Amino acid sequence: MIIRIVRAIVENVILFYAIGIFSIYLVLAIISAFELRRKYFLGKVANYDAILSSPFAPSISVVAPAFNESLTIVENIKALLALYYPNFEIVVINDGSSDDTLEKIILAFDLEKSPYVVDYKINCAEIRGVYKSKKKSFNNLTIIDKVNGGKADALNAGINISKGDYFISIDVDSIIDPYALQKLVKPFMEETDRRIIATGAVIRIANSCVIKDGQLIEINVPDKFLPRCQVIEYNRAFLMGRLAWSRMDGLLLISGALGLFDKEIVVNCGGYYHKTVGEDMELVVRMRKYMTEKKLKYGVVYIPDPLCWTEAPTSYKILGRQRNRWTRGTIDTLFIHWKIFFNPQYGFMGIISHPFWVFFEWLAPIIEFFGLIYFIVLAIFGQANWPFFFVLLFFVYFFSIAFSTYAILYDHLAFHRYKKRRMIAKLVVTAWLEPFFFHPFIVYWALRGNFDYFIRKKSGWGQMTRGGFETKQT
Amino acid sequence: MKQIIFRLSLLLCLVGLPSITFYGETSYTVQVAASKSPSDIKWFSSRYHIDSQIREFKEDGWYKYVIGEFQTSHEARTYISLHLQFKDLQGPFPRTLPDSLKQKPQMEAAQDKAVEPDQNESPGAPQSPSVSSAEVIVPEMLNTSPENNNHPPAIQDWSEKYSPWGRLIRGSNLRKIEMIIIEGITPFLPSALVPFYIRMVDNAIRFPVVLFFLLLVILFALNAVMVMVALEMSNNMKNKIERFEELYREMYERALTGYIFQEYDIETAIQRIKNIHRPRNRKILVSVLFNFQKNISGELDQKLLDVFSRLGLHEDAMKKTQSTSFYLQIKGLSELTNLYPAGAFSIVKGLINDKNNELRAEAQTSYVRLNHDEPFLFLKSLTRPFTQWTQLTSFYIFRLHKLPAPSFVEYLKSDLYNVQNFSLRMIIYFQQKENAQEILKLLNASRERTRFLAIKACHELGIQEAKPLLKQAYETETYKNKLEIVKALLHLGEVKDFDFLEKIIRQKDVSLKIEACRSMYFMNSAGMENLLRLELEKELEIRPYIGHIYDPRN
Repeated sequence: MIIRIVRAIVENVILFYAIGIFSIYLVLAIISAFELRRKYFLGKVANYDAILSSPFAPSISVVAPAFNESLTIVENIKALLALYYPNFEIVVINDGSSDDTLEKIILAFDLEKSPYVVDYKINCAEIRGVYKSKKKSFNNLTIIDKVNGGKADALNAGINISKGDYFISIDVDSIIDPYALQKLVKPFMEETDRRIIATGAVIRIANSCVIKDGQLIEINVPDKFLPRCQVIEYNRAFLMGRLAWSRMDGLLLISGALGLFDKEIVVNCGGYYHKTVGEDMELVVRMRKYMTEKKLKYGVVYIPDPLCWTEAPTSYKILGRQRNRWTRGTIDTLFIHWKIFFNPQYGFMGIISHPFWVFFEWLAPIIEFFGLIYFIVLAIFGQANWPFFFVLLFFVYFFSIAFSTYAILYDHLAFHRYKKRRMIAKLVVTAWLEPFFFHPFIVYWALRGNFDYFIRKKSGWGQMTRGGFETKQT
Repeated sequence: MKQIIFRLSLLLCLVGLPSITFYGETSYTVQVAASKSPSDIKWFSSRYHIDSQIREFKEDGWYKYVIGEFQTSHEARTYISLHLQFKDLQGPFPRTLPDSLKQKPQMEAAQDKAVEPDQNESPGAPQSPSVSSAEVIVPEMLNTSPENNNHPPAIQDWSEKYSPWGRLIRGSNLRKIEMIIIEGITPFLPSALVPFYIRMVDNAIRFPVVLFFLLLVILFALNAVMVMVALEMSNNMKNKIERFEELYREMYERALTGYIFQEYDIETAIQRIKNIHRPRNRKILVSVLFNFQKNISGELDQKLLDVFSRLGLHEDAMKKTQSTSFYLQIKGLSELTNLYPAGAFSIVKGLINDKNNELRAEAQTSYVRLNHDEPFLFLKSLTRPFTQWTQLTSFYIFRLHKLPAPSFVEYLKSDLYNVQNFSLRMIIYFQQKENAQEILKLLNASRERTRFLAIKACHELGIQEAKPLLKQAYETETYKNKLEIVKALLHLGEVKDFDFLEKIIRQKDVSLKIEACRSMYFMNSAGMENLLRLELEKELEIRPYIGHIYDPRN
């Protein structure tokens, strides 16, 4: 009798959980569709010429940490210098690289050590020197050489040195759209009754794209299966998730690869938290918490334009490390700010966003895994109902296919980046295969992340090796 | 949100649900006969050509005979339709398997004679007539067909009490539907799949949740296919449109270039602009006109306006401004402003305070474009925000068309803080020093940003009267404004302000210290000397600061 009751409870919890997660994703997709449409039309009538020549363009600091980037650093900085914006500086932080990253930059941009008094508004490891160029053409370039302290620490150092009202945090090896700054800063300038504290944009996968001198020349669908799965995954996340959260003002994550922040608020919040591997999400949550506690009206905005292109991991090993880190970062942030959980004082974030992350981001792979084990046990004891199994398997499968194809469609309608039929066909086929050859690994890595976080108490980043962009000849 | 939807395959785990939530431990059998006294099973089997094992049990005073064990009633019913309906035997019905047959071997159950038969009850049908004890009774003889009142209780409960389908459709009809679904498909299925299929249909009909999921499977499968078709169509269409636009854009550009540079007159140009009756072509032409307009002005610009109105494109634009879509309204407004200014101004004026932010922004910038004499006059009647983005765009238009700068001091009186901020920026930009008193008033504005701009204005315009006010406000100001006050003293300060700056230098805050050093050092030679004097005080550690401010790149 007790076993039957326990089983009934477990199965009903799983059923309602599943119904919940499906419903939420469906609602998010619908809201995203409306938001995408609205932003698409707004983008068509926006006049960016005005800001390009304006003396009133807000000042922006591009903060880019670099660690052992010797191979590509010079090209990457050149690409950053080519951004179209009238009032910006570039702050590259050499985070104690053990290779010749700093030497290469000094040589390429004719730098010299500048006498600089650092105002350590935010805690960071010791800054050994600040370098500026002797050439006037690079007068908006600043290089910081500091003791190694990790990405968050390097960003904090960059913020301490930066002069802009806003700063944009990027991965130095990502390719930033030349128009990124003007597009990202627009939401800050459009609001009058609330303060925009951060904006993010769509991150795209650059594998197999043609890149020359740090600029994207030709867009292609990745040749390899794994990055292709990530293309679909990113489309789903950015175009069918974050847009909706932004619309509902419940966005908790601005990707570390590209995000524009209000510096004053970041400094008041204490900058990036360097003891977590999920520093990007943690910062946004802390900023939101700060604004709510100060009773200030604010917003975190997402724009659907693909403004940053990054290299996706091509091996299961590297991808596993990345996902492991993401999981640990998520758990860390959720626990650091556990006070928010179902706390009406924090409004939508407290009641909806934070619990959503707890239940449907952190716990989802755990429940999925538990469900799978539960089913296997039932099957072993002959209690499984196979017709049900197949009905629900097909349901999950077709739901995910439909969802993924919608993500491809959203992207196609809004941006039309993949013009050839072959490219779209590749993506669609990937969407059909992904549930079998990609998703199980994602679940596994998430579980590993939980294991590493709770059992092994692991806190490092793990090695993230990039192959470098394939530079095809045009 | 890292893996959005595919983790949803956690639903795999749901497959175990029906095993208890819906099933319990009930199983079914097919009752083929009943009698008051035990019958000869062998005779019965041969009489009705039944190969399967017939089991006997005693219930409510009756000896009942059943065949098989099934997990669901519908499996039992399907068994009847597949194996028993063509035999002489008619009226067998599914029923729940009695506990005695579940727990004991059948022979044991058959030999269970402990309970005496109750002469007044029929097998599950209290109203049925009694029969002689020796006679074997098949169900139809008892008038106890499963369609009537001899139906197994579990099925009856489901179909008429719990299932929403059962409420909507009478149980008997639902069973007919189920039989149709089963019998319609089973002949086409391999025999190995038949039981599986029957169970699936049975589950679907019995449990609404399964039916719901089945419908969703179909829905999402269709959806996925439809989206793929849509993708294909949309891709083809978009590529075609791109080619189409490229073709016509080139054609229209050639036609307009010829007209603008006087190779031919407007009539010829219009003749060369082909297929302009089509909406898409009109759209392309408008876009070409916009592009041309960016690069030309004066008389040549007028030629573009002539083409626009001659082709009646202004009527399209007018219609767009009447649209309910804000996007079309903005498009229409923009077209009218740039290519049919005569008809635009009255519409623009009406939209200056529109509640839609985007439309209002467009109207405000259009106003600047259209009202050459007083481009910012609308600021006086503004009741809704004038966003920083619109300020920037308006200023761009203003500079692009080389419009005369009004005195912005009068707009400082606006109730809207963003109008005040814009005016302060313009005052700084155009160095409008008159009426400094109005600027000084804003040093006490409630908004930090407005005070910041007012301090900056005092700094940039060299308003000396502001200095005592700034020094006075320093202690109570925000950090950002404190920095701006210290910076302002670089231009406004004099020797008697050294004490004020020195006090800041002796404090711990690095940024304030840097700016105070800068202001003192670059104010005049006395300031420089004073700072060098302070450098001698070792505890102040001024030397790195002097190095810092001395480098113009910092």
